[in-house]
Amino acid sequence: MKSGLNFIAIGLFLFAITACKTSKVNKDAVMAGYVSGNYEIECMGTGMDGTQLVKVWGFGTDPEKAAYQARKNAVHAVLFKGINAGKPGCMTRPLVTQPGAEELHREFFNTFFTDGGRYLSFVSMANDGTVDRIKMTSKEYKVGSVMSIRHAALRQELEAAGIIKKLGQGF
Amino acid sequence: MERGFRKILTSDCLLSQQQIKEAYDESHRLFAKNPFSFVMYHKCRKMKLILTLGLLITTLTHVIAQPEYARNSLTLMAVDFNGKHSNTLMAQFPALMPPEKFYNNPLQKPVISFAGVQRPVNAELPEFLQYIPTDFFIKMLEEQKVAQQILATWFNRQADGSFNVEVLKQRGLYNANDNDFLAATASKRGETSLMDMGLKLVNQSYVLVYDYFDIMTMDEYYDSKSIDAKSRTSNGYKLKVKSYLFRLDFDEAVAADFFKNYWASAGDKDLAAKVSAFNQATFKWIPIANQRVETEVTQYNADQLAGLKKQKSKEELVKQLLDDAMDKVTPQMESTNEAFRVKAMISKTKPISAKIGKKEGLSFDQRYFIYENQQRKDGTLFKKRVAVVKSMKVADNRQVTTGLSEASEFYKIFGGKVDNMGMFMEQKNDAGLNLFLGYTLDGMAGYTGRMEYFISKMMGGMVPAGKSGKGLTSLLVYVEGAYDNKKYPDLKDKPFEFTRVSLGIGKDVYLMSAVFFEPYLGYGIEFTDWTIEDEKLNFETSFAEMGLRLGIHLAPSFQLMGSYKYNVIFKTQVKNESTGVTESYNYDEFFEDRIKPGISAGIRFMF
Repeated sequence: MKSGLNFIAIGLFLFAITACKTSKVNKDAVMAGYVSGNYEIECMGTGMDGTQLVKVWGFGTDPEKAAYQARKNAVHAVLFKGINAGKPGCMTRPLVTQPGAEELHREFFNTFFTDGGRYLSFVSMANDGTVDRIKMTSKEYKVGSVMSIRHAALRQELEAAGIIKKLGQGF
Repeated sequence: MERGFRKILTSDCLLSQQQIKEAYDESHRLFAKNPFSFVMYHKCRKMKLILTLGLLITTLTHVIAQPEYARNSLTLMAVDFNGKHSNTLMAQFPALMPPEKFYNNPLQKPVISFAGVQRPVNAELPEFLQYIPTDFFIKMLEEQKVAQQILATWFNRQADGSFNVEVLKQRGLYNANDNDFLAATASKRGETSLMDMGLKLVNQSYVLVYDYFDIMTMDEYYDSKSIDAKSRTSNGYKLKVKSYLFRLDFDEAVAADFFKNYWASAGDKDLAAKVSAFNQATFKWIPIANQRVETEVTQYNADQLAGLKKQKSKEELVKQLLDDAMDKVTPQMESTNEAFRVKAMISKTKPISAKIGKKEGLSFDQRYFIYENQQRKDGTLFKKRVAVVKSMKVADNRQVTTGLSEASEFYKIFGGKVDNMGMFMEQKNDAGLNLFLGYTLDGMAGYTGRMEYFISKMMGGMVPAGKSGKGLTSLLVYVEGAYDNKKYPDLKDKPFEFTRVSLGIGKDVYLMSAVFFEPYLGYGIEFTDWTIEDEKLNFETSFAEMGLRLGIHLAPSFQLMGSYKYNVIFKTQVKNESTGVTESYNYDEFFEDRIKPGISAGIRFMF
């Protein structure tokens, strides 16, 4: 009887650990647009001064969520990836070039990229709201839209937060 | 191409990214002055770097998964084999214009005479299979230098043979929709990038060659059918026409070759050589599709009751005949050539709206399918139909967009939920004809067939500009016929045969997805006869009918339908054929059950 209870207790303990681990994975999956960087982005030409004109894709369980994720991806790309595909005219070099900066300033970026977060101040649709949409599976949509990212303002924001050095520093 | 551009710059000049960007921006500036052949100077290693970019296709927006529709251009031509009345037609052919959704690239000589030449068709085949081989037309297009004339329009060729981009820019701007416009204004080049889109349109230049035949006046038609003088009530024309659609191949390679070898600006030192080369050039034609239609334009003779005192002239009838043939050929071209079918993103859902309109040839109560892009397991994309809609408000967008174009509105007749997050619509023409087959129980029972035609398609002109014409949508006229064979033992042992015909108007009203009802009102006559000994009595009973039909869409063009019909029976005229005497009775004195309301059920096909 006692060994049976022990067995159940160990089982519950293992279950709790697994549940916690799974929960973390799910949280990461939710943040995947900005954590993994696994999204498509292409330059759509030279944007107005201080902006980047891109077409970016996002994934979501419905088209609205996918479009929302695409906005995060657009800002994330300017910060950490650079825009290398598509037409010329975009910054191929990301704003944040310091290796491991994303992890180092994880708290800042988690807040920055939270739903409805500050990142929204730096991105806007660059057309009449038209988006491309592909239904990948019954529960997954891929949505692409043309967006304008205020990279100059974004740079100032990061400089003020001490994430990147000010232009001209070090000379 | 920009990759190549970067490569040239980086390998030859060892420039920084910023310098590359500046150089590219400079190229854009030069491009705006002369888009297709420009020289870019750079001081790198004191070399003059000459870049002939040829074609700046990369500046065009390539949007994955979005439906692509851009205005096509159409050139109209006719071949004249000197058939009967062809002179009359050909005299007016040069005035024939393509539909408004096309740019017009007119020719100096649109009618090509083949007088004395036998039409090159296989006479052993049935007439509907006798198409002229495409080689014949391609030879003709080359001999007539049709490609040169079309390109001369696109590139605004001047008297000295030089080209410029004025027409290209205008057409590129006119072609742009709100999405293109706003995306362009967000870029540094602004509207200039819209002008570049004109270049893409050159590769959508089509030529439609008409071959009219069997042209006859109504008198000649009556003669051919041996119709007696009394029945010759109309005058006008009938004809058959086969048309042949070709596309001028102006893809990237052809365009690059054109700009390299034939393009010359005013004042260029090699202008004469380029002009000569262009005049002697041969361009490729791609056969697209053939069409065949028959049409007629007639009017009642002036001495007929319905005839107008002031009859249309021969010229007016011929003009209308040519226009009618064009109107019938266009849907056939649209059905076989995807580039001709208008596509647009859904911009709003309440009501369903899209930013297309008269510029795209949208007409009132025109059918469109709404699609969603989906991905197969192997990664390939396909479009899946989500809903079927018809237009109820046609926006007049015949102007260069400023990003605030009015949208046309649609109502849904079939399908699921529509959203404006990436769904798009595509033109799917319907003939507007419906066929119902079913059976009527009770009342004037019997096997029932009904033909319907949506007259609402012709009522767009009644809708005030900028207003929705929902009240006029799906308005139809119908002709219904029925047959019944039923015994009335009190009257005679053999069954009576009833035939019924009625005509009226109705309107399909869509309240929810896939379900509609149709109130209708009509007038009809039911016939039967009764032979008593040697006397034959003919019964003719007229009636008014009204009721409600209920339909359930099982597919966009197929519905289950039921209806309830109430009849107001008028007096029955019973004519004794032997004596010629006609008397009036009440229908229920003979056939009491036939005055009751009826219920019918069946299926309806939409064409």
